[in-house]
Amino acid sequence: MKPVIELNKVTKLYGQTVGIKNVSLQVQSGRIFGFLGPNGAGKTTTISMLVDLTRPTRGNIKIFGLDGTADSLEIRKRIGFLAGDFALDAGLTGWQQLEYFGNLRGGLDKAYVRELAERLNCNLNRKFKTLSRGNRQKVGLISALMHKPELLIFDEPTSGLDPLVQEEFHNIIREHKRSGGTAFISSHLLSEVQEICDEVGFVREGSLIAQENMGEIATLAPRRVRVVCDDAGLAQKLGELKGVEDMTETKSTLSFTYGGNINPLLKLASSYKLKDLTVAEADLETVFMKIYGKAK
Amino acid sequence: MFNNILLKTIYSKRWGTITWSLGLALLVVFTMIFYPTISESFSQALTDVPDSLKTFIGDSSAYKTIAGYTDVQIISQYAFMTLIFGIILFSGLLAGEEGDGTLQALLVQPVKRTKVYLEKFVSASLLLAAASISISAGVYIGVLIIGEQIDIGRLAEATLALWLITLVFSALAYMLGAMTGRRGLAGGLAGALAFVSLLVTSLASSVKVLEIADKLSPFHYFNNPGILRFGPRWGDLAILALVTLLMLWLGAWFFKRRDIYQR
Repeated sequence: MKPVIELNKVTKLYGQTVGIKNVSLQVQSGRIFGFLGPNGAGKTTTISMLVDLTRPTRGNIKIFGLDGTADSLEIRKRIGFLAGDFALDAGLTGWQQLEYFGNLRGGLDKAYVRELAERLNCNLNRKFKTLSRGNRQKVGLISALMHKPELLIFDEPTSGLDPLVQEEFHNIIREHKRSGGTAFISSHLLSEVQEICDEVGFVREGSLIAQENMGEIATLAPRRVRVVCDDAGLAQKLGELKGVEDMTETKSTLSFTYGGNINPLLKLASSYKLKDLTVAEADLETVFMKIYGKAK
Repeated sequence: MFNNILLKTIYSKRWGTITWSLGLALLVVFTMIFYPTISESFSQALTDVPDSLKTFIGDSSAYKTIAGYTDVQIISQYAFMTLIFGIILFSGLLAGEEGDGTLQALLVQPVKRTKVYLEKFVSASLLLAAASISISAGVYIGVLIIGEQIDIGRLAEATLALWLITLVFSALAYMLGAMTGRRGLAGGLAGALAFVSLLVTSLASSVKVLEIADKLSPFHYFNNPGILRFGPRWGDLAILALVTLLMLWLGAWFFKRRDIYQR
């Protein structure tokens, strides 16, 4: 079976500057692929080439087995795209803009648009210029989803969305997968990719460092932990716990990076009288270093 | 209104076009109703003016007839006003929309780039025609107010010439915008070349070295010597149309092939 997305040794140069270099990856049908990397890593460059806004300097892209440039029109009929910096005509309402794009696609399923708007809590009667960033993003999501495309290509889709809408977006992506759809979603948030993706590609400084199944990454990814406890014995016990690194101590606050299964940490912490405990996702650079540090 | 790119573009630009056209028409009406006063004083005052200045403001004989006055004061001078509108409009269509990110949302729809390019050009050309016609409407209303008469056929031909000369520089702005995606560069360069062209053609009659350059200046092929008085030179107007089509083709060729950048 042919992959839905296939990049073969793709390089994009902007003059002397490297956008991405020698990237090869495949996304199979029915998979949700997370494209993860820090800002400026090459995510938007890659996505721009997937939708034929920019063309590879070297290498080639195939989508649905079709050539990414020569067959771009046919490909665009079958994809839904949301740019990271999504913008529409400021003077049009959401409905007018969606009607316009719908007509360019041969018609608009108004009932489905209403359903999406309701789910994402989006007011389509307001002019685009009066909308907040989050509400603009919602209009963008609807425009990408309204024709029920086979492949979704999203660049940082949840930026600006409140947590409830983010959750609804995740549900929509899961439904898309259940109906046999494929998605390519870029993000700089590991937690978001963990939530919805089956596999992940790590991109850094224009290069694809790794392509992994999500389950393996989830257990390896380090977290930043902060514990507030007056008992000085906890610091010593934590220091002995496998997976605890880079610990700092300020008065009664302990901060450290923790990698691996979370349960031993919780078991240890629960045996002390804690004032506070926060577990947060480590920044992407730390994740890279922990997972791929040795390989680099 | 949102069935296709052409209608949507017209809808989006409607208020700018209506405001600009009404403003232009009003200015033209005011200029026309001053004809009886100005024709008297100018035809006397201009007898001793140097030739180079006459190319800008006309010679004394031009002010003796309503056709000559309209040729010099309206068709030639208001061409630049229409040009400013055209350059702003056309440079904003592709380059402006690329700059604010809206073009990208359109180009990921299943439409050919060439179709986007051509439909936007045609819609802006129609809006430019509306602005050109507003000048003629102003002339006609002005003529009615002062009780004069003007050849409507000639006025229509002058309007066509006005539309074509503005279209040349607007198409230049459009082409540069399509090639580079940079609105400032497209509009600035087109505006500067329009000014140079006007200057060269205006001075060519009195500065010998500019005679050859004048042949390359689009303004040489516009309202020269004066359509309302002497009728159009269809060959000249055809040159303006051909230059426009050439730039349209060149812009399309580049636009189809180049990268569209995300903000």
